[in-house]
Amino acid sequence: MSAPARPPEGGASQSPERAQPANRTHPLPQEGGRGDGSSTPARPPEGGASQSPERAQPANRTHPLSQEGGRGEGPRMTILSVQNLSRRFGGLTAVDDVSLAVSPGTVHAVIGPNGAGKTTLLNLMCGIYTPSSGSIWLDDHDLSGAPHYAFARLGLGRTFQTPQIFNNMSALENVMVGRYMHEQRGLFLGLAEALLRLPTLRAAERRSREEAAELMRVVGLERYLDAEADALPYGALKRLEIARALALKPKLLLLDEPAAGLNHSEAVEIEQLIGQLVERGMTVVLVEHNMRLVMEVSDAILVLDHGRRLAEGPPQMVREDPRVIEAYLGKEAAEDARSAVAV
Amino acid sequence: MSHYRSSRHHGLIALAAIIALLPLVLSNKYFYDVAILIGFNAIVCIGLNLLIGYAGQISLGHAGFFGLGAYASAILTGNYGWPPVIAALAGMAGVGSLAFLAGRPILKLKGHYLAMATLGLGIIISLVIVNQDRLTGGPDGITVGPFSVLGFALENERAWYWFIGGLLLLTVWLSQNLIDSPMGRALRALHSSEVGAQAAGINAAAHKLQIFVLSATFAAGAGSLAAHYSGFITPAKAGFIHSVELVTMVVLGGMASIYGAVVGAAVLTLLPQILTVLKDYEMVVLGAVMMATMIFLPRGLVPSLAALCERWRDLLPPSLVLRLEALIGRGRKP
Amino acid sequence: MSQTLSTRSLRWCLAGLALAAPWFSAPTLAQEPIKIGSFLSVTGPASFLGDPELKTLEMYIERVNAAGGVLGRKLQLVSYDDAGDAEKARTFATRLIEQDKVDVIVGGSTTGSTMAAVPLAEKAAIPFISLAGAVVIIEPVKKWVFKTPHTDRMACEKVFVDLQARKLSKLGLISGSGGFDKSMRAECLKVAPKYQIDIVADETYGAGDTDMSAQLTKIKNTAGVQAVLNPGFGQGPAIVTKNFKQLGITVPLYQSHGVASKEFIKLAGDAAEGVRLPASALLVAEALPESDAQKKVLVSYKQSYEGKFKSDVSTFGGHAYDGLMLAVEAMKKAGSTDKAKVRDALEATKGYMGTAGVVNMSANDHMGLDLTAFRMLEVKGGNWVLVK
Repeated sequence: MSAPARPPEGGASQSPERAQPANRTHPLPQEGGRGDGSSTPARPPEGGASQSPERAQPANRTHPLSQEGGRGEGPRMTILSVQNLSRRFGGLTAVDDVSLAVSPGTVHAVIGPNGAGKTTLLNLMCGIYTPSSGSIWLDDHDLSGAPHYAFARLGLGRTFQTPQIFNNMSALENVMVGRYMHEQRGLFLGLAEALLRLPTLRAAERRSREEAAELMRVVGLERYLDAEADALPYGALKRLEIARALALKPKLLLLDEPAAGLNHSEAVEIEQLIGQLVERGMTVVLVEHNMRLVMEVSDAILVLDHGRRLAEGPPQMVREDPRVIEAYLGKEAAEDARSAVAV
Repeated sequence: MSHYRSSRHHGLIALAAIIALLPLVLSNKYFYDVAILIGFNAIVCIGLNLLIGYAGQISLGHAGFFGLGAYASAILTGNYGWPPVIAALAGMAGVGSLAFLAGRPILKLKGHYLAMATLGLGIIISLVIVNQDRLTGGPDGITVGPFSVLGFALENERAWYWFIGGLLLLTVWLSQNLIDSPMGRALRALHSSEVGAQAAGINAAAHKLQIFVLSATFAAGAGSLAAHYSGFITPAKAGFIHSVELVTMVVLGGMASIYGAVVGAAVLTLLPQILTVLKDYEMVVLGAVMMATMIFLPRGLVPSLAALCERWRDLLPPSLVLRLEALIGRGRKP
Repeated sequence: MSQTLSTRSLRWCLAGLALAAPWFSAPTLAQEPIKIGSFLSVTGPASFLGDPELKTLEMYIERVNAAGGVLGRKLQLVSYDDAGDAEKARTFATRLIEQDKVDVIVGGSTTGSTMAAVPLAEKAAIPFISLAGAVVIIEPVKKWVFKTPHTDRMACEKVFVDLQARKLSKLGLISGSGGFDKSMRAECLKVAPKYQIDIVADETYGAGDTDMSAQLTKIKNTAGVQAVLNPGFGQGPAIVTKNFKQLGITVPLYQSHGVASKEFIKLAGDAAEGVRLPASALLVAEALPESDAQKKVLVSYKQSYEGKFKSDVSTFGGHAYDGLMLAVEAMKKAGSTDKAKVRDALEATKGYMGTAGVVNMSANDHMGLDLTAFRMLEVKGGNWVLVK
């Protein structure tokens, strides 16, 4: 992908998100206002009731970050933009007014204690759930309410906490499935080509195999090139999912607990893999429990608690934030929290 | 994979050889008749297995599509004088369109609900056939003229045998191609993990619909030809019992196995012919055979036997293993 | 002495030969039985037809054999169960012809299974006596195909004749949606003009319907209805009869031969009183006057069947009896099992008295029954009685 290389740590002004946590206000003015508290007092009602957050937005529905785009120089500054996203299940608000902006070539982690709404946020960000309110933009596309597969088609590759492997085919075919949308040729032509196995398809299949094999090498699964998927060990399945997601040629990779269930050395390997991917220009959103991994690879961290944003910023800042420490460890432990989180 | 691709050709060659050599033991028309019936059932079951075994969607209404194809041929050739081939193609197109329209709402359902909905669709089709007696002849059935391709009439069992044999090979070839294509992988993927497939950009609903339509079209084509072959068709062929028979053939032979569908069709077409001498006990024995198969070979005949061979392959000389695999066509896991 | 000895020994020799004769002479003739092929719907939705048919064939073949067989040969029954499936029927018919090489086929419980086998019998040139009802089986006449049951059309005609006798001409129809119902309705509509019967109402009900008041009310409100006919099979006609009574409709109600059984009276109860229907004489066998030429055959068959199987006799079994006996008679008359000769003999059947009536076949009529085959019955005092 043509995303720019990862910006250096002390990245200058080209990355507004970096600066964002520092001044604690969201770059978008209307969000900043709402982000302060849910009980925002009477905003000037533009057109009737103001309880619905989307109501205020249609004005800049074209692209919420267009102001920024204008401000920033060079390539686009934000690849994924989540704005004021909420999701209610009955009376429970699992995700409450969360915003997130991910810059190209960075790793953005989402952490939080169990039940903080991480998985819900992730499922919203890839279309498994539809938001109750708020919007999701991937590049120039408003994906709010779009079906799951549409997110994938527009460049969002994802993995699952419990690997969703296709056990009825080989490991290589699993990766080839990821290439699907680049191979599809419409209902009738595609069907005719497949049924008759036309030469064009044969050539495409050969290429597909080669590229899938190459991706398996990238994630370190070269020894499983001939294996059936259900013969792979758990750690390898996690990588196989990453390879499949990469086969989509995504703009953004959404990793849901890639280290869950892995031992220490496997987790380190995953960490290295993420590092390699980012070096190649990949943008990653990471939901993870393994703090060591998160602190090691992330450029920015969003901390959720009870479905709301608790803190956001670079790793160093987040780990020192007393609210984060309190959320994770409780008030009593807050004293020696510094060392505990640093583990 | 290359292994699978080569065994795919082995399977086709083995099937072609069986079809070519079978006439040596088919001593009279009756045996030809049974062989032809196996061919018809196998073609429908391959199509149904694409839907059930590969895409993971159940249909308890496939006999309805079979019946519609049959009646389309009967009525279009009989009442309107259409050439049989055109009538059969029109029937397939019509059934494909119906499956498309009905499939859109139906395939949103899952599991038992999908089974119920397809069952309902099949029953509606068979009721329409029974009640439109002016067109269909009602419950008593309707006579269907002979079939001819490009001026060659298929008059005797032998001609039909070669025609259906060729068609079966073609169906197997087409289906194998489909399974081993991007589209086939997409289908298998959404069977295994629908959410995983969606994450790979696969529009599950569109693909289910596509394979449902294709599968229904296969059934309609087989129905058209079977009607011409039989020379007479009754609504029973569009009924629930026939649907269940077809699903049983697929499950017994092996889900997600092309050759499983062929073997299932062969076994369940042959068994009643063999067991009929048992008279009153026929159904009991047939039931027992099927239960035993599902208990001891739970994945169906072909995949289970293939797995057994896999386990034994280390004990056997490799050349023999290869040949055996080619023979049974190494089914895939469901 | 030597003279006596030689005569004696000669006598012994002759006696020995005579005893041994059956073992040597023409073993093919004596040992090879005549094969009667049959495919019947013994199980499945049409088992009410196939079951009594098969029982009857088995029982009477046993009897014929006990009485010495036909042409000095035993009869052998080769039967298959087509479960009411026309495709299976075709396959089994092929099997009978090609594999079992039967001499004659007596079978085909339903019109569908019969029609599926007709082209095979025609092609293989084998006599085929069907036990199914519809007119299409013998119309147009097919060289090798015969049938024993009376047709739906005849039932309609029988009713129409009765209507004429009662000086009624405006008829309301209410029919079910089964095969029997539809076929009979169509035949009635077809032959009504011939008997100057006006069909002034034509209602139908579904297979599982449990109330036909709506349809009957419509008929009741149709101007000029003088009688109602219900071509129907199964439970429907009993419900129609009850609703008919409940609605207080007073015109005569006719049922069809499809419900000609005690079961119908049981289901319809008091409402059945006065209902008329055309039926095979088998239903009232014992009540027939001694002068009735058919009585002997009917009583004999009825008593045999009911004695052996402890269940009520049905006309369907009677059709099988007629089919078998027609085949036996034809083989006896032809003096061989040569298929062409048997066929010709079948076509030449005259005056055969069967359970369905007197059979007089011809080149144009491969059923050979006339309206006398049906008797008009009426329910009186919870029983069927002959309408005089």
